[in-house]
Order: sequence, then C-alpha cells, then structure tokens
Amino acid sequence: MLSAYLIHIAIIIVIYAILAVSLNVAVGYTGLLNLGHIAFFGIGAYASAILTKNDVPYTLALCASGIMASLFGWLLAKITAKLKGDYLALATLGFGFVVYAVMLNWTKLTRGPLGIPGIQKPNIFGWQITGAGSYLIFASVIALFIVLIIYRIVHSRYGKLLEAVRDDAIGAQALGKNIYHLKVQSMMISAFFAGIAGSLYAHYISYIDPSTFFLSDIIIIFTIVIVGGLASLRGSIIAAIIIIALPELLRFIDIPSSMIGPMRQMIYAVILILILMFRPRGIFGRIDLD
Amino acid sequence: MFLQLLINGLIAGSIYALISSGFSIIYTTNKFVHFAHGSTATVAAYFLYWTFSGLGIPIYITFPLTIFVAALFGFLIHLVIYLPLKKRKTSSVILLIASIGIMIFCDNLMQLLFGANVKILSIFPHGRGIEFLGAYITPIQIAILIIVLILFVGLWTFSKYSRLGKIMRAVADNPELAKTTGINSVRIQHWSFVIGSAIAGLAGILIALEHNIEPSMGTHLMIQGFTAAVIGGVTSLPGSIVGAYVLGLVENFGIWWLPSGYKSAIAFVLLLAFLLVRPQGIFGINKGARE
Amino acid sequence: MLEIQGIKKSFGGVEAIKGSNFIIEKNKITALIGPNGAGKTTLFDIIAGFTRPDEGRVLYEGEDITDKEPHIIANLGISRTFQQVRLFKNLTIGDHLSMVENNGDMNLIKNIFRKKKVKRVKQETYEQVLEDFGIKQTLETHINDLSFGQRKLLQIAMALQKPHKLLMLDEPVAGVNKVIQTEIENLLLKLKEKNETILLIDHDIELVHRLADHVIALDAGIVICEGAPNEVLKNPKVLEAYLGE
Repeated sequence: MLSAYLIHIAIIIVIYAILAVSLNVAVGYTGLLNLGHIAFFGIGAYASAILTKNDVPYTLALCASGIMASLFGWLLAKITAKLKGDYLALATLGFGFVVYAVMLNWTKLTRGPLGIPGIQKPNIFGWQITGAGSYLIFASVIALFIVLIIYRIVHSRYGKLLEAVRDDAIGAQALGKNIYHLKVQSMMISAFFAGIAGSLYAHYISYIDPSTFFLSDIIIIFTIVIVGGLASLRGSIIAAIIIIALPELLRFIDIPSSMIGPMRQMIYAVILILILMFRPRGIFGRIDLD
Repeated sequence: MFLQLLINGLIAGSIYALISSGFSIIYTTNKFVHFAHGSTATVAAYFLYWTFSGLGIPIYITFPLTIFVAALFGFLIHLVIYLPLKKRKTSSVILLIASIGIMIFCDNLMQLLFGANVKILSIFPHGRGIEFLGAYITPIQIAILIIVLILFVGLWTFSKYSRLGKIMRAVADNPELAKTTGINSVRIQHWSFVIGSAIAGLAGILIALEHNIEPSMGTHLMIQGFTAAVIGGVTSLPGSIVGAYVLGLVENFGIWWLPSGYKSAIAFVLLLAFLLVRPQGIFGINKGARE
Repeated sequence: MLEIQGIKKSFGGVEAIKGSNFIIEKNKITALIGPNGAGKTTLFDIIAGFTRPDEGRVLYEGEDITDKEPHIIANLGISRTFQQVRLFKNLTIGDHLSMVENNGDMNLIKNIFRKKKVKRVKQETYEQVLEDFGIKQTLETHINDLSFGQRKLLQIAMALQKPHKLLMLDEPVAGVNKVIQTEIENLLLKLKEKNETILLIDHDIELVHRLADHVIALDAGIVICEGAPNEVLKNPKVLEAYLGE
C-alpha cells in the first residue's frame, strides 16, 4: 500500500520535473516569462487522450501531443514576439486562460467539464504497460531522454545564443543573430516537452478534465523553477522532488481531504513568495530574473 | 434584448471599473502589476459575508468596516511583501510573480475558511426588478450605477484638485521628475495601495450584493480589471474606467454569439489584441509600454 | 560603400534627424561629430536597422537596407559597437568570441549532436584575440567579472572578429580610464593602417583629428559641415555648435 503510494508520488514528480525543465528552457535560458506553460501541458494531455480514443496507436499519439503543443508554442511566440517583461507575462497568462476556456467549452471535442475518462494505458509496439511500477520506469526513461536532449541544447553553442537573447537581445541582433527565430524555437522546444508531459499525465491518471490545467496550477511549475533556480536543470529536477513531496506530508496530518487541495496551493504560494523575498536565485540559480 | 444586454454590460462595466480604477492608481505610482488586486475584493466580500451573515452585524457598521478592512489588507500586502522586494531592487516581473503568489494564496485561503461552494448574501431580496422598455433592472443594479457614478466624480475631483491626487498624476506623467522634486515616493505608494484597495473593497460589497461570492472570483475580477485598464491605458485613470465599460459591453454583447463559458476568455482575447496593436491603450501616455 | 539619403526621424513629435545626406567611402575612416542630442547615435541605429527612419533610404554597396532587420544587416557585413556596452552578463568571454565567428550556432539540430568541446585551434585563436586586446582574463571568465574598460575592449574585439566590411564604433573611448583609452587609440591607428572602413562617433576632437580621413559634423539633426578634419574642425559653425552646448 505504501509502496503504491510512493510510486504514485514518484510518477507525479517525474511529470513535474519534465514540466519544470521544459519551462526553464523558455524562462530561465531564453528569458521568455511564460505564465501559460500549463496550457501546453493541457494541450498535450488532450491531444494524446483524444487521439488514442480514436484508435491512434499510443506511440504516435505521444509524438503528436508534443507536436501539437509545439504548434501552439509557435503560435504564442508569434503573437507575443514584440512583447517584453510584464506585458509578455500577462499575454502568456491570457493565452493559458483562453486555452482553458476552449477546453471547457468546446464540448464536442473535449466533453467540457465532464472530462475524458478511461484513457488507455500505453502500448508501445506491443509492450502493454499496466502496473504503476512499469509506468514509473517508462515515464522515467522518457524524462531521462528529455533531460538529456535539453542538457545538450542548453550547453551547446545554440544554448548560449538563447542565453544571449535573455541577457541582451539587442546585442545578439547586432551580432547577426535572428532573435525572433530563437525566441520562437525556444518556445516551441519548451512547449513540445510540456506536451509530452501532458501525454504522460493523461495516460497515467486515465482521466483528464480542464480543472487540472487551470492557470492557478501554473504556480506549482513556477515555484519549482524558481526554487530550483533559473537556468539550472539540476535545480529544476531537485526542486520538483522537494516541491511535490513536501505537501504530501499534509496527508499524514489529520485534516479533512477537501482541505488538502487549497492548503497545498497555499504552501506553494508561500514558498514562492518567501524564495522571491529571501533567495531569489533559488537553490542552484546563477542568474537574476529581470 | 439589445437594451437588456446594454444594461447588463453597463452594470458589469461599473463593477470592472471599480477594480480597474484601483488597479490603475496602484500601477501608476508603483509601476508593476499588482495581480492580487482582485483578491482584495474577494477578501472584502467574504469579510462582509462573515460579519453580516455570520456575526449578524448590521450593514451600516459592516459596510464601512469592509472598506476599511480592504484598505488595510492592500496596505499590509504592500508593507510586508512588496516593499521589502522593492528594497532589493527587484524587477517588476518578480513583483508580478509575487503578486500571483499572493492571489493564489488568498483565493485558497478563502476556500479553506469558507468552503468551495458559493455564498449568497441575502441583505436585499433579489426581485425580478423594474421593467424598463422590455428590459429588467433591479434596485441593486440601479444603486450600483449611481454609487459608481458618484465615486468616479469623487475620484476625478480628488485627482484634479487634491494635493495627493496632483502628485499621483505628476508621478504618472514623469516618474523621474517626481523623484527629483523630492516627492516621498514610498508614502505615495502606500496611499495608492490604501485608496486602490478601498475601492476594491467597495467592489467586493457590490459584487456580494449583485452576484454570489466564490473563492475563485478574485482571479476573474483581476483578469477583467486588468484588461479594462490596458484597454484604457494603464496609467490613465479615466482611461481605465472607459476601458471597463468597453469590456463590460463587449463581454455581454459577445455572448450573443459565443457560449457564456467564453465570457472571461473574451476579456483575454481583447487584452491580447490591445497588447499587440495598441499597448498604450486608448488614452495611455505610457510610451514604450512594450519595453 | 554606404550612402545616407534624406533620412528623417522624429520621436514623439521631436525631430531627431532632419534630412541627412552623406556618403561613407571604402577604406576610409569617417568620423561623425556633434554635441549631445545631435542625432549621431540615432543615425547609427538607423543604419544598423534598430530604428526605422520616417523618410529616406540607406544604401549599402548599392543595396537598399533601410527596412531590413538588424541581424540581416549585421550579416551583410556591418559590424557595430554600442555606446553602452551590450554584452551577455551571464556568459563567458569564450562564449562571446565563439558567437561572432559564424552563424553555425543558429542550427538547433546540428548543435544537439555536435561535440561540446571547443577545438584546440579555435581556443588558441580566441586566446590570441584576448592577448591582442590586452585582456588578461581567461576565456572562462564571466562578463560580470570584467571591468567596464575591459568590456568595452571585448566589444570592439568582437566587432572586429565578426566578418565585416564596415565597422561602426559608437564612442569607443568614452568612459574608460587613460590606460585603456590609449590602448583603444593605438588599436584604431592600427586599423587605419589596415585600410578598414570605419564609421566612428566620438567627442574627442584630438582623436578625431588624428584618426579620421573625413569628418561629418551634425547639429540638431542636420549635417552642418563635412570635409577633411582640418577644415571641419575650424569651421565657425562647428565651433559654435560645440561651444554653444
């Protein structure tokens, strides 16, 4: 019983680690303050769920979830290309909200607030994943792969360009770098992996509804990224473990289960505010957000 | 139908204007997006619910008390969280993220204290209202329109003739100039939080009377209040009020074609459109707002 | 090489550039002088594509580059520095130097698979650049750890390292100490010998006198005088503009 519970937490940690690492590509490395990351997560989850419900093979659906999210990343980056700082943050938040509203209201596609139940467990070229243990292994392998790719990206010369865009976009332009391309690509990479995380989530929980992807849940991902530190992959992963595991302690205190949800959100909010006030660079961060 | 939508739009606009005007006052002097501003109205609404329905305190005491609590709430947030952050020369983006943290904290705290279900404040009975050329309007709605109108005349007078109001406008026009002429900016910022939050407190009361109270309403209010402010031009007080009515009308006429679930999304689409096409808003003087 | 035709630009109703015309010739050093607010940097920004003019055209090797994006203009061979140094504060000197070399870093897929390690030869080239410019720090040094003068040096080094035909330097010696100032001046003299094409903004009349082949004097957005340094610097209109400041 306890081990099943621990495996569950571990899977959630893996999914949030992917979300945080991918968000860090946009926010930490490229300086694109994206408050709508949760929308990519949702788009990936819905894409994968709807496709497999229509008998598309799981592996295809998994890829499609990333591509679909990535396309929306392209769209978001295009429409916000000229915005910076506060205005970019709010426009991306708005994007997240619009996506949420569509999920809730386009009932023909998403079944609206009823959600999509009975999402099948993954079947990868004949290997049927059923138990939570094997799902954890599967999700971990994917996460490892994603972290490896992102690690390669951010430590390459290309990654340095992304950092150049963050530090001084005009300076990067003067060196002949197309900053619009870089911003769009960064957002697309970030969105792609968030979409994959969405697919992993949908096929694990087997039921999705719009409430999981409401904008207030961006606070979890953001808290992870800020606590771990901007432009630190190691930080995001370690912070994902801490931030997801910590509120689980609430379950061992004798409080009604209806209170756990709000309390968890409040804990995240408090951690976020405290870290911004007292250690804005997070655990492993080396840069300031400005 | 048209008239009914017009009335609904104006009433929604009035309430949004209460949020957007306070937001604009705070933004003008502080130069960052105080996202938890909508939560001030939520806290006020729940405070009213608690004191009136819970403790049975009569309205002539609890109404002013609610506005006071809202003002105090805004002041404390500024004193305890924003001011220390500003002292570290934190960027406006960090302040924005912190304010989202505060918003989520408040919304969830209200849910924890009062539960997720909607609360109804039965101070005045909700009648069907007065018929007026085929449209209906309730006495509360008429009261809202009148109260908001009076408030705005007051605000206008305040910003035009009072010393504090003049200073605030000076700071809005030229923050650097205001700094060099020795205006105590922290004091002005405190006052802008107090005044802005007090108006949000009034908004909380009116919302509690007109609609139901629920924990997540702060988020929605903020989206609408902020959008209204951007439409009008964030640093322009009259602009933010006009923007609120524009938004109220667009939303209400918009649901003629769209399902009502898209109501809040309409605000965001409008927000995106303005950020892209005219970030300085209709009346804004904030040049280089995209920077 | 570069031709400015009837450029006009105003900011919020104030005319910064009021119809400027001039030509920058190949293999010559052209200096743009004038009091603060004369519109020198605005002209720089217009040439480099960071600001769009309201009217007029910029021709570069006969090609109209007026409406081109800054990065495209940079890749056409116009290399510039900024008055306020624009470097990437969280990156190292090595990162900066590898960035100017070519645009191979723009390709995402190639970069994922490329080996991370910088080739020995390249490493040595970079170290040579640092030595030439008198920067004693290693390639791994972060920009945050450099002094203002060193940053200014590095920026000029990058502009030079970048493949270019025209070099635009915005006040290269402003705000640095005497030692570095001399260093930069010597460097510019060396560039003059190498027949580089340079457009230079500077306040230092002495330096302009020694360095420039051609001087263009701007005041309040208008070219008031141009020609050889001797003539321009003695022109009463130029003296008035400077003294009247």
